[in-house]
Amino acid sequence: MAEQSFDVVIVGSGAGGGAAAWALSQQRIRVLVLEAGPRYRPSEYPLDRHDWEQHQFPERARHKSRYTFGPMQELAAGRDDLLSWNHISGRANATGRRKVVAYHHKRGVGGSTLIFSGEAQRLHPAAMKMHSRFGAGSDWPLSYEELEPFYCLAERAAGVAGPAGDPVRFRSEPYPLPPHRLSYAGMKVRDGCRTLGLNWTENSVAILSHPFDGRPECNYCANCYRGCMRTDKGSADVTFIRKAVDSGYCEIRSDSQATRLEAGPDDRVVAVHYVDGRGGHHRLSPGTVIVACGAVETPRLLLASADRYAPDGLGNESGQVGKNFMETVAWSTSGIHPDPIGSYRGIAVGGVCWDFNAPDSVPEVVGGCRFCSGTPESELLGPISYAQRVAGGWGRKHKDEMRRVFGRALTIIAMGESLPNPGSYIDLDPYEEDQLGMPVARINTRLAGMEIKRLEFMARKSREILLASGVEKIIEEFGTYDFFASTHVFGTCRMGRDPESSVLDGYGRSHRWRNLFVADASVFPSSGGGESPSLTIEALAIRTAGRIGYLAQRGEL
Amino acid sequence: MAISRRSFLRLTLGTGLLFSSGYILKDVFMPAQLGAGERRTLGAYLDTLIPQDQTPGAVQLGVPEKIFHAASEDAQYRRLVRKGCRWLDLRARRMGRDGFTSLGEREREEVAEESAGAPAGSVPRIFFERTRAYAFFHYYAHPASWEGLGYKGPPQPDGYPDYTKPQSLLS
Repeated sequence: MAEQSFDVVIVGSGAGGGAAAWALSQQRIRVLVLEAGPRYRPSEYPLDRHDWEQHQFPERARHKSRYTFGPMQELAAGRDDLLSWNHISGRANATGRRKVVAYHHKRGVGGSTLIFSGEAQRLHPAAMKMHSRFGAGSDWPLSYEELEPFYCLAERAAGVAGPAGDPVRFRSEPYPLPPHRLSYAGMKVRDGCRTLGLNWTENSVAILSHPFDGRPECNYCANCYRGCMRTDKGSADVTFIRKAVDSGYCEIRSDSQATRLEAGPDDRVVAVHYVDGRGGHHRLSPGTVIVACGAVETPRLLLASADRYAPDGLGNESGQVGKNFMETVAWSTSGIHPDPIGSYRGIAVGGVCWDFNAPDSVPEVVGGCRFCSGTPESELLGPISYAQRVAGGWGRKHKDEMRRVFGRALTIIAMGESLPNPGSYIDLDPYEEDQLGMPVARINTRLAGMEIKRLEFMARKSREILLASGVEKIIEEFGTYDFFASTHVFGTCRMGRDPESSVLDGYGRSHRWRNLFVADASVFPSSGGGESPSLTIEALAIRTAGRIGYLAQRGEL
Repeated sequence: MAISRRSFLRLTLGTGLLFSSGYILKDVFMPAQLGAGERRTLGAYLDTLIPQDQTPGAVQLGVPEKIFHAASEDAQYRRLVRKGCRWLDLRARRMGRDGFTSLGEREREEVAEESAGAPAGSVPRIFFERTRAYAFFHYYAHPASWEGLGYKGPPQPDGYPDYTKPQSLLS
């Protein structure tokens, strides 16, 4: 296709960019997707090698964006109950300040879905009305009911397996695939929850429980985050992107980093500038632009695109681009179970307790959370990690201990709501640039009192569940009180009805720039109560793509 | 960004300092490989950290060679190994022996125990922790180390289709 023939250019090919590309291509709208990272082949994930555990997801040039951090928060004294520790290596952070692990993300065709654990969860409807119900954050400008049909489309395209009978999240049709059976380790947690009077259910995941759409079923290796060799995990590259390209209406350009969006005089974006892998500079002039780079990189691109028509950054008339940054609020507690549970097997996050997911379900706390069995998610997947983190010691005693404990670690992971606060935002680092001379994003993060109270509950309940599941000894805890470690990030270009307090309308369209849309978790007005966001990102992106088709037909873009 | 005293002196005094500063010359011209004696000492230490029992030990699975290689690629770790090996040999000499390699198994274990229990941040303690981490990293990547664990990795191509059953039924 000639450069001028694209109707829409999408920047980013993860959950949002991929789903938007697919939904646009189904409408026969011609799409170009620019992806800053490389293209990966599932066969290159090293899970069939004996030294597999020495390798993470393959790292290639441009596989991550550069970013920096503002000053990290000082930790209050006397909060030992929230500090990360391991029974062998001791306290993980003794600096007295929050410490950075990483903003976990991936550049590459498929984006961060390449390394996600496949969770495909719908938001709790009440978590979309945080401001009107609780005076916290802001409300979504659309209801769960409006989003529901798009959830169904996303679930069908990604191949989601899940259980029936959710009493909270209305469904107009069943999941495309039946749920995965709980692992043996997961059954221990289910039984433990029952003794505490808690409900436990199979997780809903974009992981195939049966062959589907030309892809095979999962064989339960539990290493989703190292990349799925079999392609049963519904990462965007093997689902939305594949279908979009197959339609003939979509082209993917990998190793192509957008560096600037050029604004014009009539409230329209007139060009996308990008640099290809060989350093060649390009300028495209599509009818419509969708930015889908995630809640750190999307505000970076918009802020870096400031010019005479948009002096404070593109789409930043409200001053809200980069603001309202919401991060991952998480906790994990691990222990040793007396039985040979073989917890390194199954899907990464097999079962969930949703009892505290509603925003008013945690006592004296606004914003919910959920608990799940996640030993693979805590990377206790093979002998090396067990030797380092579980068995410890040395000599014959160490080897005997390895034989005793291997496969018996059990982990409860809790994920919670993250409410926006003025100390958490993304801006451009005034000193640091990437290799293309573009200022890098600076992550400013602060945990407010409500997040800390929620973490207290999450930590306490995780321990209760773990001990009720039969664990004899807790050996490790990790939380985001003393560490910044975020996979799920939200809110930095939020949707809303009021152009004064939001960046986008309810369809992800800029309030001012008529042909500018955003399709990633930066549009979320609130984070939800610990649900993984990928399915909601996909549903919103499909809805946005439908709106673009509608507006294009009416000549209103 | 803060600048170190050494970098500052290099920048301000130039190469003249190089010839008056033995420690800089020593760093620059220090061999990039461990010497034969250091290799023997490190090998014996690894054999103590992961000995052979009903399954092979670190030496049988070629772990020392992997760590020699790591030391050749990482100058900082190489310096640590040199200091650590000197410490091991010194402890052995205090026990009336020629060096760590001349100790019996029980005595090696005593010295290893001492390195593991040394104060946090001390050379023997850091040497112990880093060498043990390297040793585990390479030892448990070898399938022969998995015997007795009930583990039938790697994860693919077979996966774990029996994931709903206890692990013991798999081994």
